[in-house]
Amino acid sequence: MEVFCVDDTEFHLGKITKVIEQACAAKGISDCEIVQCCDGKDFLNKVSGKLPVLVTLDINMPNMDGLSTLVRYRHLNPAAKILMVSSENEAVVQRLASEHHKVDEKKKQMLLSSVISRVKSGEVVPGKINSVLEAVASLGMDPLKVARENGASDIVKKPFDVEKAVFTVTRYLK
Amino acid sequence: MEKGSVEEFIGYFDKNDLENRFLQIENALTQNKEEKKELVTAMFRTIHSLKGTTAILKIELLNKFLHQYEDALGVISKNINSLVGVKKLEVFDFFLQGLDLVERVSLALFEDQEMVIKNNKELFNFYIKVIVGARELVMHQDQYFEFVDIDEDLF
Repeated sequence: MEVFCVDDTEFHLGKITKVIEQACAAKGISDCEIVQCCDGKDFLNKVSGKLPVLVTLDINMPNMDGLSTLVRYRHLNPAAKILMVSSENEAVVQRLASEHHKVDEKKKQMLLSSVISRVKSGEVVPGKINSVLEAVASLGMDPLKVARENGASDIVKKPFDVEKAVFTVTRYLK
Repeated sequence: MEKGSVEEFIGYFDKNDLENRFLQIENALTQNKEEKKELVTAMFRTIHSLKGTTAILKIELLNKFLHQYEDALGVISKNINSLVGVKKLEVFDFFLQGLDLVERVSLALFEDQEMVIKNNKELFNFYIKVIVGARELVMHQDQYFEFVDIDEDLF
């Protein structure tokens, strides 16, 4: 059984790995292999041909951010269980940023959908936004809400409350 | 926290490089140059990594500050596609002061790993001033930067 953990920060990768290990122990799972990845591209390379039981995704990452990875991997594996790992401040900073965006909600959704379609198919168009996180930030949208609307199974908050995080993860481990 | 951890962080923290990069960002943002996005994204990643490093090395005081600093820088990086100018140039003084603060706090911690910042009055006042500056920037972004409606062709 494989669990993939994706985070660009070694520290947080170590923390979420420990959470997964504790969750597996709690469920009596002894054959769990945890694969660590440093960003979305690394994850998509390593997960190719595999069917992990669970994936954890950091949101802010270089090369390929967590929202883009979510959208792309959900397209490749519709049945995947994917937990987003998010800093508590993410939504707050974004809400403050959104106060000067004058695009209405319907238009924002439409513009975001264009980017999501491109990312799903793996298309990169020069001169356009090719990152879901960048699109969300540019439109002043809530990244966690977008994650939920695009297939995130759940959200785990950083800094980790280990007990809460383990409880959340055990719900998604078979 | 150990002295070795702070020493490691000091070796990792290149203040001169970061100052030069902020000056490039100031230039790029005030003149709305094309390279603004690349410069700001790279800086955001550097600060994000520094923050992560302080977490790994368990330097809590710096980690807490760098969270605030990253949020302030996030105002620029998250809005880079609609940010076309700078209304108050002193906003860059804030970012440079933040780097001064990181240097001064890390040197103080190197001398005394158990340092309680409240006992060092001048440094504490500086710490508070910069933290308040970070929050002010996040809460009142429109006062510091010129934003326009997003270019829909980017999507």
